[in-house]
Amino acid sequence: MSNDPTLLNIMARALQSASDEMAANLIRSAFSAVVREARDCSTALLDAQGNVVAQAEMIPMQTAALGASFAAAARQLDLSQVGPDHFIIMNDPYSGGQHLNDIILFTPIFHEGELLGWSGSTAHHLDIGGGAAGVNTGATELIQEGLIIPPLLLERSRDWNGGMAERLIFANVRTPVIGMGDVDAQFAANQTGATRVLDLARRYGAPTVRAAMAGALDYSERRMRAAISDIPDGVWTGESFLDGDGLSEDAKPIRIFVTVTIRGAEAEMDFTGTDPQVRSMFNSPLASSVAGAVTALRSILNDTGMPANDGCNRPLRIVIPEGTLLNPRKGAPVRARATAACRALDAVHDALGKIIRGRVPGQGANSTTGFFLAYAPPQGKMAIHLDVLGGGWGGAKDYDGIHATDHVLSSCRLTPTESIEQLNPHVRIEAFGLIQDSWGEGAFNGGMGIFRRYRILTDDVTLSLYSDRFRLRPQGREGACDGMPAHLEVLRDGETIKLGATSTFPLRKGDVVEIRLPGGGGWGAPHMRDREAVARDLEDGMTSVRAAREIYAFEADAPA
Amino acid sequence: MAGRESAGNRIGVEIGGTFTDMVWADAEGVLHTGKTPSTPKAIHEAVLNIVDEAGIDLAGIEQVTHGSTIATNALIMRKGSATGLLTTAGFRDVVILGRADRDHDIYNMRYVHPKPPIRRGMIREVRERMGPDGSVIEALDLDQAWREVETFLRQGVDGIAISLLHAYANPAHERALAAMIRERAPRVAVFASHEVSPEFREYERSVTTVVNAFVGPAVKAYIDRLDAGLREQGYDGVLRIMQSNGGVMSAHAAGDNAVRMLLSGPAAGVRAAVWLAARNGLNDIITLDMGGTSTDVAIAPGLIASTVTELKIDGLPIRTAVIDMGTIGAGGGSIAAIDRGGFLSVGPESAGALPGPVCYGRGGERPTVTDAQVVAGLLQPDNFFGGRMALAADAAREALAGLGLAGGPEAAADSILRIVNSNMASAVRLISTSRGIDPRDFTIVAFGGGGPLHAAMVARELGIRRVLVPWSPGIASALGLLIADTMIDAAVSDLHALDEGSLDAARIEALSARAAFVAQENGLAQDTYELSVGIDMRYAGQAFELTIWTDTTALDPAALRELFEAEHRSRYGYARAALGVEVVSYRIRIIAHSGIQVETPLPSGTGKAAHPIEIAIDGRRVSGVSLTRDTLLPGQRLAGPAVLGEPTSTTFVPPGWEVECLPSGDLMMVDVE
Repeated sequence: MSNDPTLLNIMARALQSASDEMAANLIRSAFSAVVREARDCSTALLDAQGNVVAQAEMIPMQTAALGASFAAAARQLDLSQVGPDHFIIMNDPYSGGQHLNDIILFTPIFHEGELLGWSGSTAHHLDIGGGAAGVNTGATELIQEGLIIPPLLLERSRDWNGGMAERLIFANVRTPVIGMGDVDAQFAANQTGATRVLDLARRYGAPTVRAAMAGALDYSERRMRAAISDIPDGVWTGESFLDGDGLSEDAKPIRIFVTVTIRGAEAEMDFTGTDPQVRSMFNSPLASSVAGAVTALRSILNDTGMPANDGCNRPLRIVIPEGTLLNPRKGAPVRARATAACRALDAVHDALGKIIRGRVPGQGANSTTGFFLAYAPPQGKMAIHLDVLGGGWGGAKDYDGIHATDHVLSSCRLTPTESIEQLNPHVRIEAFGLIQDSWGEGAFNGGMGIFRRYRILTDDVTLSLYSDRFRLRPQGREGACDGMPAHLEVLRDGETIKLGATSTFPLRKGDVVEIRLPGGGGWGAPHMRDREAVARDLEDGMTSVRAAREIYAFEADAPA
Repeated sequence: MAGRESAGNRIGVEIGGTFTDMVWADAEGVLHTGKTPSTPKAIHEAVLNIVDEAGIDLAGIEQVTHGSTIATNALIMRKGSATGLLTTAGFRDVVILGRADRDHDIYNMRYVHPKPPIRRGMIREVRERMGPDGSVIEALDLDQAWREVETFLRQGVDGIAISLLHAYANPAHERALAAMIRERAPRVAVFASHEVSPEFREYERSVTTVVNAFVGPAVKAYIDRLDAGLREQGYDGVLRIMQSNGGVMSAHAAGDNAVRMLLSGPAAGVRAAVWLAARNGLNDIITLDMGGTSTDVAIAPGLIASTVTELKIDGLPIRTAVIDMGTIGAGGGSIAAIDRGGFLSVGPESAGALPGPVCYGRGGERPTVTDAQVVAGLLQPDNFFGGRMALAADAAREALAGLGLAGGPEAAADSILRIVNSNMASAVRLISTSRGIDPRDFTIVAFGGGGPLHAAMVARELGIRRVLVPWSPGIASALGLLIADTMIDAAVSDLHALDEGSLDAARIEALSARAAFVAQENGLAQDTYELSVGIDMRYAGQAFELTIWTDTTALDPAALRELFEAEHRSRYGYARAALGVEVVSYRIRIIAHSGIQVETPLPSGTGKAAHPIEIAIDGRRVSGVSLTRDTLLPGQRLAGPAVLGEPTSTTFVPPGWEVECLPSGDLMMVDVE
């Protein structure tokens, strides 16, 4: 039966829906706010060799890299004697991991005594130990960011559920009960995937399942190759910049440089020329950098809907020299790795924007902004409010960017103000909304930036933040304007205190904190924008009369 | 509400995009059916037409129940009333920003969020502020608020939605604002969030309130026209409107609660399936409702359809009780194509009613599921739509050949059907195995035009051995309207740790009092309804709740925790004794049983007797029979492969299955291998 194309088609879809189901369960039962609100998790089914054959649509940062994580683990572990009770757990950024909060769990799938494949899941854990609750913004070594778990092959009955490894790991975590709950949710999600695969094996036989796994990889590879072939052959270079390393206000921008080569159905992205690694947490480990590069390419293809699996990566070659910001040497901190991964994406777009101009959007806010308000009273219960806020996306040909949305590598949702206030007695949100004129005006606008204003209701609150684009604006493309940059200030006793993109700042009762997120860059010259659209934006208060007149050359007395 | 135990004199009318269906119970309780083209320009006229065509004397009818997509269409087309939204100062953009969710197409950098139901220019702020505990942080400034309302009045709004922060915890400001507008601008419809959706999470509450305001006046005007039209014909009974929860509400409540109608059509079908299952002595069912563009599946263990508290329409979250349904874009009109990677795909693109499938000969050129059914021999031209509609089988074959698959049109048809069956089976798994329920001992109840044709093949994939094909499966939704109970759902947000309070006698009393109030609002007298209570619980730290339903027996925290953990284990595969559990909301459900006693006509025994046909299925060609369903009489059996045609549907009995006509006249297909 295994050469029946319809059956392989049906089974490939079944593997896909199994991994979707794994993810749906993980999100709904997880405790980590970042998992449930940001979908900062991933689930996948792998073949017996460790190729990702089906994957849920979670966040590209993780989905594009899970196969590489397994490969790194397989290099360090002897998997020849794996049995049904075994599992692999890891978080080491220098062994295929992302940052330490992301715990990766692989469990084997056995059918009639034979290894048929693996279930895999990653989840961002609330706490992983280290020098500070939330983010240790001052870390200069990986070890200060938390507990490092190299790939370990463990036995569940012996080492977990009260076993030694579980006790050791969670003795080093601030919120052990919740952390164990989240690993339980990962085990349960993996089990769901295994159950579905075994169900397929029972109905159609293990050889057919193997053939379907191989077929799924080939299928995605075909779609990837077809889409790359649509880009003209050639070699282009591109660059992008981070504001700095976050250690000092006047640090100079850090450059990402890439050479993109398209040859037929294959693509190469070579980041040689990128600046060296930094002493702060803005380094990006290999897995995250690769995710940024792969996503950059996939996002501008004429086919963005192909099922994500390791087949998509077959036509790609990615070169990142060791010791650079995008592939630091072992031991460097990486907590804020998303920023550099986002700039890797920007750099690839800068290169491809020179050839497929209509498909590449202006730059979006495209940064992870982690904003913490930690309340630690001398006596009593600690409470941390975490906001991950997005800004405007880049406009593109025939597309106005969306507002206030986390970047493409991630997918953090906005948390309801009512939930935030229920859970955080130290914070009241005074206002939250769009910022007029914050987008990059263009024939197609970028998305708008947003602001949020917090009133601090008690003493003993500390603000910490890591972000980017405080100095360098999201750039417009093809004659469009740049988006407005980010901004953070504290109002205290009638005085305004301006803070930078990487800040730790003690707050007092009565302080008002306002953060503003960037707008996205636009696409095409603003005077080419549809007049009705400008009139509507004016009416809705998105555009000011002045911007309408001066930037769009719009006559306000024209019929609205 | 007199005549509760009456046998008949009731009508159920369902308006669809193409046809309006009616089921009518005469004075003896015997059911009759009617079908007439819908009248999109004056929708309510189809209702009057169908009643007229059937020659029913409306003066003798006690009850008309109506199901309509009017609310849904007004929302999707964004053609509702001119609406303004008043919200708390500083929070104008809540509805514009949404949750910034991105849950599919994750590599797409041209991602588009759902279009807000209201423009930013129609949202105005009022000065006031409540805290999460319901305390007043800033008093409501009524003078400033009135100036904002005056702006709306100048803009000519029909309705104003009010959604203030933390109004679920303390609705005082919303009440004061609503009272002021109702008094000073009585012609404007006012909708307050604490009345429409009194639960926390401001985006979802605001959207629900705005949508209710946006479609409410249109729904009210429509129902008034329908009501007046019926009364002109001498009607003097009760008019009831179907809701998404599978129950009905009185027509006068519909204008204020339009969001309750959004998915009423599929819900009515599920309600019918439950009734049909009960009369055949079945207990655990899965419903499979296949129409022209999509297929809906739902599950009802113990004949109670699971409900959820939120639905999405056009990407907008609407909080209202709705039957938990899985929907896939696979209907008769779904188009089959070869995708970019060389795989065959079916749907979600649909040929719709026009041009429709190739075999309809109305200009359709792309092959559809219906074309595959024709080529496979499952739709017989002489039996389709009671023989009233020709099927161009040759054109269908040609279109399928155009896909270029090895093995020609029959192999292509077989592949399409297998993919559709597999997609349907996946949808059933998502509402059963994914929820910790083993579907194999369930019976599928198949309806809609296409459900009875695919159901047994879907059952085979799932290991299910029985399929019920009820009387007139193509008009099950209209039957659901006729027999539905009155059912009102309401909720109360009340966040607390489970050990700090529970479903004790005091809480039951408070919820019962609330239920009495809601019942009165909906025209239900005391002692005419039953009450169920739902408790939304989660582990402290989680963001999604599970609802545990119970009757009005008091339960202590330990018992509630046990019920929650059992559900958590069944849904998510684990439970953790060390974690705290919290209650988020309480739900109440009021049910007033319709008490209807009706019976469907038995098979007439007339029509085409079984005659041999060829069917291509599972990669081979087999001999089977085709017959008119009405010729199979109660107690008679027939072995598959067989195709049974009737005016609204076609039933397919696969090889290895057998069909029996039950004493009720419904068909039961059974796996006999």
